[in-house]
Amino acid sequence: MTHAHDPSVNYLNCQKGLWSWLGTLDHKRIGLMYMWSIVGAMVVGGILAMLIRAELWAPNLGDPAKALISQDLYNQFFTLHGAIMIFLVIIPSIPAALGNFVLPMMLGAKDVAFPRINRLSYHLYLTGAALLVVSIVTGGIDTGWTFYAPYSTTTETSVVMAVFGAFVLGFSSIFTGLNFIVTIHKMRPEGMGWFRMPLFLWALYATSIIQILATPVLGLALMLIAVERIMEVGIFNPALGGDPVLFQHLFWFYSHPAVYVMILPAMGVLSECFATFSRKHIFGYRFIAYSSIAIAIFSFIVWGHHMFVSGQSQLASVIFSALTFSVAIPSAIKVFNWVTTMYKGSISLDTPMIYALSVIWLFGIGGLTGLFLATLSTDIHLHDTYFVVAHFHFVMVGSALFSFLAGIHYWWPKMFGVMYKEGPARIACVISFIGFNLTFIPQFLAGTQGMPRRYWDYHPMYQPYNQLSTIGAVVLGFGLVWSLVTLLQSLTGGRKAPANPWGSATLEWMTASPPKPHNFDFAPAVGDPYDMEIVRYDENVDGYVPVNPHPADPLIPLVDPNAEDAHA
Amino acid sequence: MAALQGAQDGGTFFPPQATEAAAEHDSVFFLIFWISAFFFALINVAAVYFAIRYRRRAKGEPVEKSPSHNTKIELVWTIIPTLIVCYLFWIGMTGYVDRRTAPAGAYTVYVTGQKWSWSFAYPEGFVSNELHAPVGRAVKLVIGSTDVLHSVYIPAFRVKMDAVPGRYTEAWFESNRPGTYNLFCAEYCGQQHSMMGASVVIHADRAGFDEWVKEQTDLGDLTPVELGALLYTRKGCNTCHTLDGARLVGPSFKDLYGSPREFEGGGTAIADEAYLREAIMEPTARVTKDYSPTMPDFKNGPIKIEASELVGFIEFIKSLSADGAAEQAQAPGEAPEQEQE
Repeated sequence: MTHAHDPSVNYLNCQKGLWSWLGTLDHKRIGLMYMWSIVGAMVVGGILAMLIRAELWAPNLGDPAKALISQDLYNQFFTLHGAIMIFLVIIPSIPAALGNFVLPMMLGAKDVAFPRINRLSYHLYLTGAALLVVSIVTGGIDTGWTFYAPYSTTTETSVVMAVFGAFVLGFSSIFTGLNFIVTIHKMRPEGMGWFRMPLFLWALYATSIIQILATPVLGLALMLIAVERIMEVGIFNPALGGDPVLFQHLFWFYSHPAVYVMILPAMGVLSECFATFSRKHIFGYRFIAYSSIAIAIFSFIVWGHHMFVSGQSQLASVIFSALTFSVAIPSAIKVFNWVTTMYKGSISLDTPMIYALSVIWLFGIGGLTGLFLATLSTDIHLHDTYFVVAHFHFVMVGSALFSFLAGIHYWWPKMFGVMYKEGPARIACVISFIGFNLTFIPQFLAGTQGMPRRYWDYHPMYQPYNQLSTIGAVVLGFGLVWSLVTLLQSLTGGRKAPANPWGSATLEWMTASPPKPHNFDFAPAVGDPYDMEIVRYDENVDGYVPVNPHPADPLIPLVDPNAEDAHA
Repeated sequence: MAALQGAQDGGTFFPPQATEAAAEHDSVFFLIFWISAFFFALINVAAVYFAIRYRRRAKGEPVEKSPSHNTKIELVWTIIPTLIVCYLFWIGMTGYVDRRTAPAGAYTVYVTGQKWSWSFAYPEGFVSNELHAPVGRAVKLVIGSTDVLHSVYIPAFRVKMDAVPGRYTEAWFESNRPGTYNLFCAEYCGQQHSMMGASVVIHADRAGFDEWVKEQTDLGDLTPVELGALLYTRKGCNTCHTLDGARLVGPSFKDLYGSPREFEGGGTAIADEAYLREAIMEPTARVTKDYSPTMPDFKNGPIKIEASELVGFIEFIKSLSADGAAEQAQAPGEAPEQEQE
């Protein structure tokens, strides 16, 4: 480490060239590559969403000539929109992009436990994405992202290639989860017991448990589809002696927990934001931490709530309904604790906090509408309608994606060492928030009125809801592009970021922005991650500095003179 | 399109309540709605109030110490929601079991989904593409599928149940409101998923229903062309084949008879009776160029076509082309009326 103490060297400028990125073992660079890949995938998925909304602007009244997009193409578009947004955007968003960047630094560590496996995860992500592209070019997929059999085992589109892509993406997810679990177990610094971990780490830990336990089942279910298609072994298709409901069990055994792979890390980001921007110790630390684990455990025993009208037995449905309600409790506990954290705080409405407050609203709607779907008698009517579409978009986009944006804006100064402009970034958030609500609230009503999902054409009575929704989608898209432009602008003209612009007490803020290649020159001392009194505002740097700074390096607090590199 | 019919005069949230179960469903929905609205307002009002009341007035301002933990309050906001969801589970369960369990002696209709139409087989021994029932009579639907998953969904009854190939599922309703309602397919089933609808007709009294049944069962005097025209809608052919030359999933029947056909993978034929027989019974044997082999197989598939029905289909298709109609006009003893849509 020749440059270890040269303050101008950081992880962004220490090496140059394409391979210094693609071949890197640095968790921070891998995190950034994930982030840009996810942004790219989101643009593609977003364009597909716009095309879907454009087609749904007006009903075709059964006449293909009136349609903007043909039925076959429409079915491929919503399938790809779902597959891309779930497998390439939301699932890796917070864990793989932000988690990779932040997790080792929150532990005061140099990297994750297995940097090479981490790089492999990213390469598998790219491979899986490439396979999805191949499947699009070689016939597309029209099964819906759920791949329900026997449609998926009989349609003529390129299903085998697509499920293989999802299979490979699954391994990317499994390896990331494995890496995080080992890192959190083995690399916590001295003094950081489990209950001194930042809540983001608790959330990532819970997420990782789901990733390594549930994802293999998805891989298995998808491979069985390929086996049935290629070798005509009767597994799901009754024409060959199989059972289509079996596929739904296997699929949702992964895909319901996968919802918590999306939302748990988002909750972790929110916990950091509410504490930091209220300059308050997080309220009910242990309840939030335990509720993450509770959600992870419950997530494995609720999958049957996707199948209340599938032909599953009444008894099974009753049991799954009861278990499903159990998830509501830890989710509610988290929200109550976040809001209470704000009580008597010193609340600064910086962009990440505005996103976090938006999520209180959006997750409120997303979570509470889940009650209608968990309740057996109301689910009969609402299942497979636009009510469900609106519900899961409120959770996956309104909550997970807005939390991802909160996280990006929160850690952006750390990632790139620059501050974005607060004004435009806040306006972008407000526009996205308005656009999101306008897109999806009308869909609740289309759903209660009975409009089924995945419809290329619809009864004219549903047109007002669809038009509002399409207008909202344009506003939402505009807001998201605006936020991206604001962030990108900061890279060239942004004000230099201090080490700790928000006044957070977790360890990643105790090193320079952007961090050095090996994160810390010295092992940072570990305290309570939410004791906001260990940093104070310093107007000279327009940021926060440790209360007891080391005289030689004000960025590193409370140095242990015997320590060298972090975890050397 | 059948699914585009129907009385639609419900409220802001729901289509009309055409069964008692629908009214019960809606009352449970609104109970959850108001509980949710209360908690939603509580957390959002608190968050906005705190954000204003405790806004940061100066960077670096001192923060008053306040507790970061309170077991009592945690228990309160754990136990109260737990009790509420236990209650919701209970009312949801009882409503669900009621709506899944058909009363004894219900009128049983067998519903079959296939890409992309519904057929309803009645105990009187006929099949229709519409679901009819009188007011005040419990109707049990025994639901199956011949190909992929479908789902019977009648919003006005708040009824939904998947059609699963290889097994039967059940749903039931008892309507208290005469009218015509939509039946949608709610489980994605491919290209024409959004077109896979049917009409549900609730007759105001038993006599009206019986009269409809009589019309359906009285096929004795039909000519083959009339039979074909009837089967064209009953068997759901109209989902994919038009009578006016427009293209849907399959070729239009207009001017089909006697026309030259080109096939996928090469080969040609003239659409005569022998070709039509093959195209109906074994549709994937030779597929018309630029079309996909999606039509159900009536020779080996689960739904069979009887010999008389086959003749009806062929004669009906013949009647729709100038050549065929001319042939039929010459045939002794047969002077078909041209069936129009």
